[in-house]
This record gives sequence, structure tokens and C-alpha cells, in this order.
Amino acid sequence: MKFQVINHDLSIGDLKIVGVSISSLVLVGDAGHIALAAAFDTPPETLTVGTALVPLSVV
Amino acid sequence: MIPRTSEVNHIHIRSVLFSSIVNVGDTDEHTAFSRAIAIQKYEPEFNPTLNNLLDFPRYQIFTMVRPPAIPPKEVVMESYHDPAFIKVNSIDIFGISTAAMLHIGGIQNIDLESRVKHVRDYRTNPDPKNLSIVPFATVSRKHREPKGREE
Repeated sequence: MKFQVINHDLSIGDLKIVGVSISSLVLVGDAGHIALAAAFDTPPETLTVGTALVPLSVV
Repeated sequence: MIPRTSEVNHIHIRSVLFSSIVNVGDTDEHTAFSRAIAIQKYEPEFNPTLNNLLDFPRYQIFTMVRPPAIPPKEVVMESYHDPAFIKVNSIDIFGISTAAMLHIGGIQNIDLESRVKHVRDYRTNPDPKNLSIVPFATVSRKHREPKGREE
């Protein structure tokens, strides 16, 4: 397969962004290969009472 | 392939933090990694004994293997630029955080990774009527009585 792209004039006015967070990308340009990964853990078990902050599995 | 030129007149960013970068120009390869344990504590002071307890490998989220990315399919690509410009008048970003990126220009390979673990540590059970949602840690550690607590 031959993939042919013809880019014409690309003009953007104003970009307004509140947040770019946790492995995110704002790109003004061309890219070859992009790999973005994020792991986020906030299950109910994260809630602890007292000072025992270590996970339950580490006893 | 003739690279395209990116043109940005004005950039306004308030903060860039935790392995994030702002890059103006072309990049061949970029890798960023960030990991965080975010503790929401009732008490405003940091307990130094936590230094030894809060180890990244102790939490599964930091040790779990990242799933392998699907390898890109080899496609013969030809691109023509006419005219070879990407124009942006202004970029206004409040914050760039945790292995994120603002890139002006071409980039060949980019790999960003971040892992965040949240812990909410309460002084007392915030919801006594629903004890089942609060799994009391079985780790027996001397419970520190908060200072100036009534009763």
C-alpha cells in the first residue's frame, strides 16, 4: 500500500488549554511514532484510617 | 520527506512540572517518566517515618508491567507540503504536568509514561455508618493519637 498525503496551508488562531497532564502531548508539527502511557490508581482501598499507609499486601 | 515548519507567534504557560517539558524545534527521540504517590492527609505536617514506609515498589501500580504497544504497521508514506507551514497565532496553557509535553516542531519518536498512586489518609473514619467501604489496614502499627484531639 502506498499512502500519499498532500498537506495544504494549516493555520490556527488561538489555542487555550487549561491543563496538559499525565503523559499527554500537545504537538504543533508532525510525528513519527507516539507512545503515551499512564497508570492511575485510586480505588476505594486506598482509603485508610490512621497511619498505616502501606498496602495490605505488604504485611 | 521535507520537514514542515511550525510557526507559533506567542506562548503563555503558567507552570511546567514533574518531568514535563516544552520543546521548540525538531526532536528525534524523547522519553519521559514520572511516578507519584499522592497522599491526601488530614494533618498538615509530614510524618518523617513515612519516608521508610512509602516505597514505590510496595505498590502494585509501580511494578506492574506496561502492556506492549502494538508495533506500527510498515506503510510506505509520501507526504507533500504546500506550503510547508503550520501556523498558530497563540498558545495559552495553564499547566503542563506529570510527564506531559508541549512540542513545537516535528518529532520522530515520543514515549511518555506516568504512574500515580492516590492514598487518602483520614484521622478518623469519615463515614462511620458505612464501615464496609473502609478496609482497616491489617498492618499492626502503633496508632499515633493526633495531638489536641478532644475526648
